[in-house]
Amino acid sequence: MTGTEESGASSSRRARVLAVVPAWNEEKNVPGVVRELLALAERPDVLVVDDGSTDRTGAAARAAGARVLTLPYNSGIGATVQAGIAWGVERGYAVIARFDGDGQHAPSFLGALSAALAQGDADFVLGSRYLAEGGFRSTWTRRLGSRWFSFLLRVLTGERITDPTSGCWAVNGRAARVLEAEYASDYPEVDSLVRLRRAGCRIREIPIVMRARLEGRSSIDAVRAVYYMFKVTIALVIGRVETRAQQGGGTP
Amino acid sequence: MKFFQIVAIVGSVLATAFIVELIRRRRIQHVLWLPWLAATIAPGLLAAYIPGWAGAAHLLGIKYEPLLLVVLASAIAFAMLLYLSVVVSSLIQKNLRLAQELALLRSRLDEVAPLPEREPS
Repeated sequence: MTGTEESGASSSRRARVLAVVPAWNEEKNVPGVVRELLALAERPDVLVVDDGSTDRTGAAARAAGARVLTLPYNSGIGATVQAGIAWGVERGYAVIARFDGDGQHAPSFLGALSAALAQGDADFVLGSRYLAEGGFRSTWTRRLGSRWFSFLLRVLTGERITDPTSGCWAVNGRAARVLEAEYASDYPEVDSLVRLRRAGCRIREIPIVMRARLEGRSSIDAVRAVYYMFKVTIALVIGRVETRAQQGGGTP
Repeated sequence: MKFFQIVAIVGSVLATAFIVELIRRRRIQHVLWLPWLAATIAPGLLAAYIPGWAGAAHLLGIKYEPLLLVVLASAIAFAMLLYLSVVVSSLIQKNLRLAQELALLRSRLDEVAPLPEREPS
């Protein structure tokens, strides 16, 4: 079955849930993620956004039954996710969820994320690894980073977020349009929470359990994790100053 | 006029001619040539009229006049690097948007008439 035939089948059942799967050189992992998502009761449409892979990630995803959006070159996680959101907004999906192509986000949580959105008290539902017991434990540098950003977000926005670096989330149309308009090009998770809060979106967390990568190694080591903390902290503080300047500029 | 002034002016003229040639061949885009032109013309002007900037140095309380040139050169280098960073950042942002737009358009085209599978680059 070609991608187009698959898309025709997807459109005919009018799925209102889109699972966006950003992937870069995940030829071995992405078919399993796609198959798990397509087997769910929610029957989501699955869009793999191939971030300029040098292996056959796109072909593998298509063969597993996903739609594939191919970026012409490696553009970074932010641009990749944003392209997937834009694709979903163009087609009017009610729910857009993100599941990474390495298989660490268990697709089975799509139902819980969608159900939390359906309750109507949130525009953005974030899967938190720290609200549930068990599952894969990330490195101590990443856990430290999460705690630091939780503290920073609380100071900057007043929002209590236990897992601000989580990449497993679902948004409704309102929040999707906010993220489609602006999304940080690298390390976008924490920044996007601030942007959503600034836009008046409501954020809610639900517990998820993270899995170990199915194959291969993560591209984020300890040095990159520290760099990430440093860079995002500065970006958040500057963003806060920028917001205050905008608010001040609007006052006569 | 002293020998070093002549050398500086000739060097400045040659550098300016080189920049002009790059502009003429469109090897430098319009947003980038102005600071380079200023950077090549300025040394010639400074060498041609030393009393002007030496007097300015005295007015600023600088006893060793050439230090004013060091300060000016540092400020210009800083400004040029900053300007280039802003231009490059803007280009990166536009390039990412174009890449996304291209991917979205290819996806739409694929819905109408599927394109052959592309080999990974």
